[in-house]
Amino acid sequence: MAWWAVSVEGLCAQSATLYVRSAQTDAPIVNALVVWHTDRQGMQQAWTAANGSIQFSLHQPVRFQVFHSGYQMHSDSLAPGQHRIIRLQPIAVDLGEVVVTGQHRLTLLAGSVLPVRVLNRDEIEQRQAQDLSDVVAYELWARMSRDEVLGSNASINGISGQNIKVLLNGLPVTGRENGHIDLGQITLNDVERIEIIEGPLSVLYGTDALGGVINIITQHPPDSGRSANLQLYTETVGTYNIAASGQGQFGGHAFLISGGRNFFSGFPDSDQQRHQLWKPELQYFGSVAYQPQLPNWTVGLRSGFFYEEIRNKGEPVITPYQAYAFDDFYYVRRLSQTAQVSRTFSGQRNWELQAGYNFYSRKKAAYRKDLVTLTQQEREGEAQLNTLGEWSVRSTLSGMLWQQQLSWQAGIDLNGQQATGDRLLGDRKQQSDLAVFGTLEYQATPSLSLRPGLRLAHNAYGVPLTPALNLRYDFSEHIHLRAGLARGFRAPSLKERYLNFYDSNHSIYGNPELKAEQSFSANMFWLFEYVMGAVQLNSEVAVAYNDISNQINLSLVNALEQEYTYINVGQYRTRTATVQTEAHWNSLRLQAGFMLQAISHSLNDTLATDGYVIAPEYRFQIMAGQPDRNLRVALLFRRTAPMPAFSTDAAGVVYEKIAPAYNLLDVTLSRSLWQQRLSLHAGINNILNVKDVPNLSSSTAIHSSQDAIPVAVGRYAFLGIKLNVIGP
Amino acid sequence: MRGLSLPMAFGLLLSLSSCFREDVPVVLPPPGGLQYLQVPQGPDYSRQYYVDLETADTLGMPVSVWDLCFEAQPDGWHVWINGANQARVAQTTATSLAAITDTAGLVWKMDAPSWNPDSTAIGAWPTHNFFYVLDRGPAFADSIRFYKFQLTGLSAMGYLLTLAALKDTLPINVVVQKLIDRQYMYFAFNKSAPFPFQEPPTDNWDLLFTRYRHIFTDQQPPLPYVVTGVLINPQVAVAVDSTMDFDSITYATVQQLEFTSRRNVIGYAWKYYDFSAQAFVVRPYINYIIRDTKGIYWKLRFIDFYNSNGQKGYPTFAYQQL
Repeated sequence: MAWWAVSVEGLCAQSATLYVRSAQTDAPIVNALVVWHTDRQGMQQAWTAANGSIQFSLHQPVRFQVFHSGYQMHSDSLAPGQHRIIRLQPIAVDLGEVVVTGQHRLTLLAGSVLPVRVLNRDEIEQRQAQDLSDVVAYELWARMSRDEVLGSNASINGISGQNIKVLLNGLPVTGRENGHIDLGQITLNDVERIEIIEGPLSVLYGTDALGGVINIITQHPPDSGRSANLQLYTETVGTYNIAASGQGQFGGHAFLISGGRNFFSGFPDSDQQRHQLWKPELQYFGSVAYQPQLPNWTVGLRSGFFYEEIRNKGEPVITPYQAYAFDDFYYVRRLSQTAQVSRTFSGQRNWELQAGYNFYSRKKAAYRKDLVTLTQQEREGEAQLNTLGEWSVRSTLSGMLWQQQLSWQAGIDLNGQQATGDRLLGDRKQQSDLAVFGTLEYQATPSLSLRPGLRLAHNAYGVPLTPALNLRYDFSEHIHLRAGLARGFRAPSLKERYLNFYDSNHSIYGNPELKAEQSFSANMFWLFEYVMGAVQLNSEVAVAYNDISNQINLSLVNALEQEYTYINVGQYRTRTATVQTEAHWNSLRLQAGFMLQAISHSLNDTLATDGYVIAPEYRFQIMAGQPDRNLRVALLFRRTAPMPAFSTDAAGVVYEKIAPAYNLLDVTLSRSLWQQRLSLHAGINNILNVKDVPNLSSSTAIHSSQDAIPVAVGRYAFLGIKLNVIGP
Repeated sequence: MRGLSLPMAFGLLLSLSSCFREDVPVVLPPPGGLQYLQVPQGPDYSRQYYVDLETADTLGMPVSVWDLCFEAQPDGWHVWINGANQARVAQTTATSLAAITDTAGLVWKMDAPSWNPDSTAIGAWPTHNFFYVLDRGPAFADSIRFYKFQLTGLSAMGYLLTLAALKDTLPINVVVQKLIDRQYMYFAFNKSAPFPFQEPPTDNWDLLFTRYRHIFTDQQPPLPYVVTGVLINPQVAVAVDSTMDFDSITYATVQQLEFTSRRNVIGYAWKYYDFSAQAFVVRPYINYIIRDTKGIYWKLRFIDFYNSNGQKGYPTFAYQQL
């Protein structure tokens, strides 16, 4: 799917400029999508630059449409030599949002058959989200959990992170630890928006897409103009982040360069406390995107890197004769290279190729540090180095038939992984997956769209066929239904297939014969929209059922030798019901959501939850502003539900535990100054000062103790500054 | 551009101030000074004292106050008898209280002087349900000297005993509770309260100056004899050396020594009775290197057995933290 575009006209063209602004605040609207049609090149599209403008080279007047999240679509015309300002009207329902995930082409959110949710740049900045975990933490459909070393993990509608696909511009993000991507490593400096689809999408994206797909869409280099900005962010708990980006057009070549440094000093932070519950962390990240202007072609190249260092310092041991501590340092490196090429042919056929290579490495260095001499010595047998290289090639061809009643897409998806590691059998292993897929989108009546899909794959873990069926039905102008039935799967990881670990206590071996986890899902989303005078209301009622079978669990296979291996034995079922309502009244925006989750989990024949465990969650958000003073305040509340889970004690015994409920409350004040060049965001997060929750184990005598599970660092204040250094 | 200076300065501040905290070197304390301690066991050696070298705290009580000593750890089950009282114990073949009425035919046993758990007189009592008879020692009147008892219960929390005086038929059930921060729990038969005293927590004592029974195996037959000496906390380790000059001993010079946690490693032989002088004489050339429960090393040597009034039973020693 194209995610940026170019527009080129002939030599005799005249320039024209369009300025897109908010009718409410008169602020320039950045990255609004502008679509127009010319006789020579058919449909064209481009995004507004940092000052909200877009430049055209026109031979003749054109009709154009402007789309942006949170605003009504605006349709108008522009003549050669004309310079116009248009103002978009804000709306309650994001009908104007354009989405790409799972679509045959750029599609209006309101017209999508798939239930796509969008978190756009405005929301990212309003929340002052520094990474992906900050963005989804308050979403009703997501639940965050955080490990001090392995990072942040999100579950969608009760389905854990190992069954969620994370994509960057449509290509998979690699490098999972303990089955999940650390969302804290997905920085948002150059991210334009995030699209989320709840439920399986394996028919399009293959493995891991059982519980849902999170597709991160990065900003595209501008079609015109140049701009640069500086972003600063600090928290009272020791966070100091700085990032910058610059973008511009240089003679037919557009570039976007961004980078930054995030630092967290660890918490609690004091001279007396060497060991910290929340580990000190340093991140460097950057990316370069390039987009040449070529006639008839859309080409984009992007290269990104990420580096992270986490220091897990041990408690000091001090005797009259020596002082030392055991320290573990973790180094993560990520490199991603992607190329995307697309072309639109006559007959509205579109061909697209995406190719990418992702490299991930995680190194653990373990030291015994002499606290007297401050020298450190490596601890034998403790160091680890794991690497994973993953290449992906994905090509699709899509088109329309029968007076645009039938839209089709066919594609091929090749994926290969190669892993190395001290604990892999033979040190180096690889696996690959070759798949072809196709989807049809048939508009049977003006109200009914059907979308069947099928994926046919060749791999070593036994998922030859993955079907899906989605539909959209508009009962009226105000009531819409989206529903779907789909199968999904998760391929066993190389670690699960080839792990070779043993120590004096136990040994764990991979299982090359593992089959993929498979899921069946059914979901329905009703959307209701109302307008009552100045108040706009939209509500969503959703129900979903997920059944994951063949779940891969670590199991004891030889009690005498304490040998464990991975086998397909578990089953995980969720049922969710969600109600969300949003109301707009002038500059006041209210959101409320309630979700009821029922989870049934069995690890094996003997260890299972007692039927379904019910988990209610709810969320409120109030946003109010004074547009004339560029002032906005937001209050966000979320209650997370008690969640059943299985854990392993020091003796290797698996037991059930319940993570209790807790509440989060944030308040943010935002203001723009200097004609929108300076944005200030300040607030207090976690006002209720939640730090940990008791770990309630099941009623067995061994695990009846209550250990606290850390969930947050507690209450803190933050300040974020964004400054447009170059540009209007 | 003047307005930009504030955010720029803020950014510079963020960049410069955000670095990992580096460790500050720990300065180790210098070796401690030489200290002296005298333990007032008394001329009749009737009192025992727990000694904590780090604080120089002592806790004293009569030696004879207990009869049975129980392991206090949750998984412990061993039981000792009070050798200072010359106590003895015999395992019977009776499984009922009424079946035992006298001591005829009993085979008396004593604990090993080392307090080795595998060499107790009571032995592996959880493997059977026979009654024992305890001879508390010749200092007790006959009516309270002999008791019969059965160890009937064991858990991580404590022990259960059924007992009666030898001639009695009415059983008394007693619970001896375990305390996880102690090494031993004590019990006395003729006390109204089941616990005659509690020893200090494990980390609060290193040495016990007491009387205990040594068995001279070089005699034929082996000769049990009550001696006055030192038993160590089983969590403490001690090395014995008589080759180094006490003043020259440092942390570095003791690392090659062999340490043991045998309870009577210090024992009684740091003194001997000089028949010609008719007095006890200490052996100051014997160095005891002690690694306490906190990992602190000490050197110790005895310097006297008499107080300033010339009374025996006042062992005095010099010690220093390494």
